[in-house]
Amino acid sequence: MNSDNEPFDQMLSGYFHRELDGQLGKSLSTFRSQQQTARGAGVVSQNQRLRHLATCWLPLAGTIAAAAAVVFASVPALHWRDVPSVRHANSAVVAPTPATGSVMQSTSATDQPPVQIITPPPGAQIAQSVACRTINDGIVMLAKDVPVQKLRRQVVQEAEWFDVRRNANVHVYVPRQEVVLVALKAF
Amino acid sequence: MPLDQSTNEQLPDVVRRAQLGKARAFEKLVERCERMVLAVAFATLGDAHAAGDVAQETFLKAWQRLGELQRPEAFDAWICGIARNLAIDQRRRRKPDSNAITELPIATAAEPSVALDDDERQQVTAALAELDEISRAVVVFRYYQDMGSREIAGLLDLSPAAVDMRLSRARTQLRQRLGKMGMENAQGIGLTMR
Repeated sequence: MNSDNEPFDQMLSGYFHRELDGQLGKSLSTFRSQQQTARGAGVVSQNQRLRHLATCWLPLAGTIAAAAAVVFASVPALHWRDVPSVRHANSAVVAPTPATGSVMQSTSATDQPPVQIITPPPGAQIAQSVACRTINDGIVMLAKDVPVQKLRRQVVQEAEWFDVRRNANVHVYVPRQEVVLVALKAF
Repeated sequence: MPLDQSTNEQLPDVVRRAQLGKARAFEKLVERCERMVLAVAFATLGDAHAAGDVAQETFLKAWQRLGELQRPEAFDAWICGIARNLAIDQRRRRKPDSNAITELPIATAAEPSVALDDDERQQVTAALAELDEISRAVVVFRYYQDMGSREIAGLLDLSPAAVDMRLSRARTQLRQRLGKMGMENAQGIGLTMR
């Protein structure tokens, strides 16, 4: 840069500093305040999730429970030994319930929980939620003459906390699926 | 040159620590790159306040997406890309009449010198608006960040020679434009603007 350009260069440099220097530091302040908000969000988040659980999922869960009770009361009991165990790869009978004539199967990826649960540090504020839904897959045949109603119950457990030691937000997400087979009377 | 003088830590090391969720490390990156991000946003938008907003948004987004950065040594180019995309989005959202380049200077009778500075500022802003975006970015990097041609070339994916050429042409164009506006008594401009 030669000396002829110097006043012009100074003018441009001064212009940019005057325009932009006032904006310096705002990004850092915003980032810090966002971090503080995120750390304090645990309680708010927990409240929101509990409210969400209460308003959305509890009535649905009650409806499903009532429907299941009606089904269980109306169908004749079927001895669980008479029901052939449909054991696919990666599935296991978890809780056969002879009294009600239903068979419950877990179809999670393995017999072990699919996600290793990380233990939160003592004293950590944990936001937790459980969401579930039941899907009716209709009537399926277990054997030649054994019709059953197939219901899939999907449960998602979530927990979130701020780990002070790692300075990180930890979010644990555990999806599960259970298949409930309800015996039906064949006419 | 180390990013943190006290620990002799280089940029990629700080980026890696930030990728592990260390907010302190990311704060160092914000301090280091804020001018650069402001320059990118200003080159696209031509408005300091909007550029400041985009810079804030850029760092928040970068913090969220830091895990996607594969090469920590390319952090500068990566964050400049985020800033540029956000600035382009912001420009699309803005109404034509809210463009700062067309703002009228605010003059008050009690402060004639401030009014004169504002007038000059408007003229420089208007002259810069006539440059193409890459040339404007070159000018901002050079005059605001005092960056060399090689550094600018690395950020804008140009050759150093292309940067020099663009800078030279931009300077000539700005001189001509400001001359038409009656500012070509440039010997005095630098003094009044600083």
